[in-house]
Amino acid sequence: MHDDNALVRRTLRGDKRAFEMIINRYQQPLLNYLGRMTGERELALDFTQEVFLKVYASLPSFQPRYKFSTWLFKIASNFMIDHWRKKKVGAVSLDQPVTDGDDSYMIQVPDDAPPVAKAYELTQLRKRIEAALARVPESLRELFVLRHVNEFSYEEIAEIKGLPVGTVKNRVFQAKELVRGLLGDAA
Amino acid sequence: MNHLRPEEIDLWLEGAAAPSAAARMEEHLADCAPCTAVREDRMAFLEAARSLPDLEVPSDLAARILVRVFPRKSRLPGTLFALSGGLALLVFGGLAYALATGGNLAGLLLGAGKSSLGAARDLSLALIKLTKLTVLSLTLLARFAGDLMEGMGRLGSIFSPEVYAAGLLITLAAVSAFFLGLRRKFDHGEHP
Repeated sequence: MHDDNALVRRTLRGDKRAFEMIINRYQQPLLNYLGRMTGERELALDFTQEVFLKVYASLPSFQPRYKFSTWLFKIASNFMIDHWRKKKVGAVSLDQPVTDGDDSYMIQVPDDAPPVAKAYELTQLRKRIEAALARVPESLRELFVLRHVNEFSYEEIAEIKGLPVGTVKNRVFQAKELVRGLLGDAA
Repeated sequence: MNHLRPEEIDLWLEGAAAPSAAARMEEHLADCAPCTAVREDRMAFLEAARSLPDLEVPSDLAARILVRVFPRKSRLPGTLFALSGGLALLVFGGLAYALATGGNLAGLLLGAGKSSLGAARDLSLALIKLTKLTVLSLTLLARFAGDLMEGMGRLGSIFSPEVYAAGLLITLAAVSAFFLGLRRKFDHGEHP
């Protein structure tokens, strides 16, 4: 198994096969991320191609002291931000309190918390999470996907998004609570 | 009794809680039924989120990306471009000539046709001459080879058979090295 840095070095020397191995390694997690961010598979496939083109073009600037997967997802995240800007999507600022409708989101205390997840079968719960995710603001959805779908650590997400780890933890939790809150509404 | 906060439980379930906090939470969960129920519910949610199905990757996605990253250079468009350019230049030149001289285009085309026939005749004559020259060269080469063989035979009587064999081996090795080098040059190219 070749490590990412070795594949990057080989690609920079003109080895086409090495870049093909990078694509094969990351196309699935990248498509999972972009698919959940766009909500459209075909668009996500186009974006996957575009992100890999950007990755190839930016390879000379990659510094091996960083983790390649983190660097790649940083490019993907910036790509999504550009896309939202072009579409003029009103993304929620990470510095603003999260709201659900008119009311600020309130975290439930354990004593009163209803079992929102245990009420469903696993397959049904997954479908409801997918449907609920689509209704979560992009910036929070992205953090949820990076943490719980792509399974990056909080530290890695902090590096991808250029945010303090504590902020990432808070926002991932808020995203999670928002999804949990929407589970009952999601079909 | 202070209950655990949901974010604490999540961090613990994700393995991201500090060791001291994890020990405290385990101790609390052993005695607290409401917090245990919350933990079960949040664990079910996290497991479902972690196991969301993968989006299907088309089998040719990598190939599509590679074609865009490393576009194949084809010589055909360049050749076609040169041919069509040459043809267009000829047509344009003919028209310009006809317009400038006031001559009719049919006459010009007829003249061009005659010129082409003349050129074809000249080319045939040149080919015949070239063939004759090749035959003559081959005859000379055959005579030279015959003389060389005769000379080699005489040399064989001067040098010992060992020297003669060594010379042959060296020549053979030099010729092999030359062809191997050529083959490597031809084989050298992009990775598949």
